[in-house]
Amino acid sequence: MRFIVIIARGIPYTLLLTVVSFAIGAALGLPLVALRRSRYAVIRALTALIIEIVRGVPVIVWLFVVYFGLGAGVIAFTPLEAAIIVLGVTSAAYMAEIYRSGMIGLPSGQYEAAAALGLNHMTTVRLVTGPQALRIALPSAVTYLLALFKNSSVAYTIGVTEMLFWAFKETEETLQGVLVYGIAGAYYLLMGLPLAVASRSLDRRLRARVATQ
Amino acid sequence: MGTWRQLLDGLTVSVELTVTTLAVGIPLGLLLAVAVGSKSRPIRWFCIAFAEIGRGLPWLVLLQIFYFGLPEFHITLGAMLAATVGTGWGAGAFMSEIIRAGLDAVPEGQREAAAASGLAYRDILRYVVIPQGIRIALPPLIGFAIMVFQGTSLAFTIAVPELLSHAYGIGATTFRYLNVLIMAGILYAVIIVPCALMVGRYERQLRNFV
Repeated sequence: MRFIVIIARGIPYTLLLTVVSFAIGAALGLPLVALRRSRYAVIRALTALIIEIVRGVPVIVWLFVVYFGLGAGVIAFTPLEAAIIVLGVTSAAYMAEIYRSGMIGLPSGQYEAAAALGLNHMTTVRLVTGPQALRIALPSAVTYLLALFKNSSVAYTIGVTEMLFWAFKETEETLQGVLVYGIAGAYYLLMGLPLAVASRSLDRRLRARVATQ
Repeated sequence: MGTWRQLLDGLTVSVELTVTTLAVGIPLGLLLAVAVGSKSRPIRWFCIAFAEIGRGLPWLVLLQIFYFGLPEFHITLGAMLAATVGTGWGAGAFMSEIIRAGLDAVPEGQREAAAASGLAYRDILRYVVIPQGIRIALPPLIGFAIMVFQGTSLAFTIAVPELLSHAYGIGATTFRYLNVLIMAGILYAVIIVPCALMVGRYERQLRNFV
């Protein structure tokens, strides 16, 4: 049963990676979605292209580009830094699209009513459309957070000492892979479950607080 | 040009793994989606648990438990087979959710009409609900297939000779990781970005017609 203890050593790193990258993604996603919805077509297209490219290359490839690629002579990051940068930036691209789908999901009557009341663009976004779009986007954001929590395991490939790192190491040493990965898997399931449940009930409750026309 | 050729060899393996994973994942997803609505409680609970585990575990855990774990019980799967089974489970579990949503989106009247025409439960599913539900689920399924292609890069960790492992191997021998990894990234992007844009456009078109 020492596996339970050994793999638990990785939990703080798994959580750290998840929470910090998500915070970076949630923050950087906001200016990104503003650019994505810019009034200038060139900026819109350019931002869309950048978002698609960030999302279109697997995270593990980005991780290797930053850690091994840039690390060989350009900028040497620690494994943890490289993992946070990569997961943070890819999260920003995903979060921008999640915010955007929230804004698209809002009935156009909201924009029209705000304009009819003489609110300027910033005030409309801040007081009318922004808060409602966030409510639409929040369940998707929680779903993304859950995916990020699981995907943070790729960081083990560059040596971040999160859960899978210990699972891999213990399997190499003891050859009891089914038990070791079973325990790691149980940790992922147990910690992910509350988020999954939260996401479902959030969706129901928040939808009730969005205008229907 | 030799480098590109080697990377293309890896890309071929990535595509093969995508195909085999989908060949496991799509039937599994359909089976789970239908079985979750089963009248038998043990079957229902088993399928829910099977799907939740497949969705709740990182793909790396699924891959590695089959590749590194099973030899202990004297079952040795080749890297490709372990990757297919592992990601196939994960993909099937996700797809079952997508297909389930598609089946649920078929209007109730369709089932009622089919039942009124005297079709058996099995035939209602087979001729009425599944064909229409799959059509509704198609755009998100294609979108997910793109994610599966991305996910094959994780099979690098169990020594499947796919695109990333070729790139890493070349980097390790030349010590010029950056160039070759960027080349690999370009190959992924060249396939994934146009596919993602097409799926997005297809989804928007469908939405306009509903």
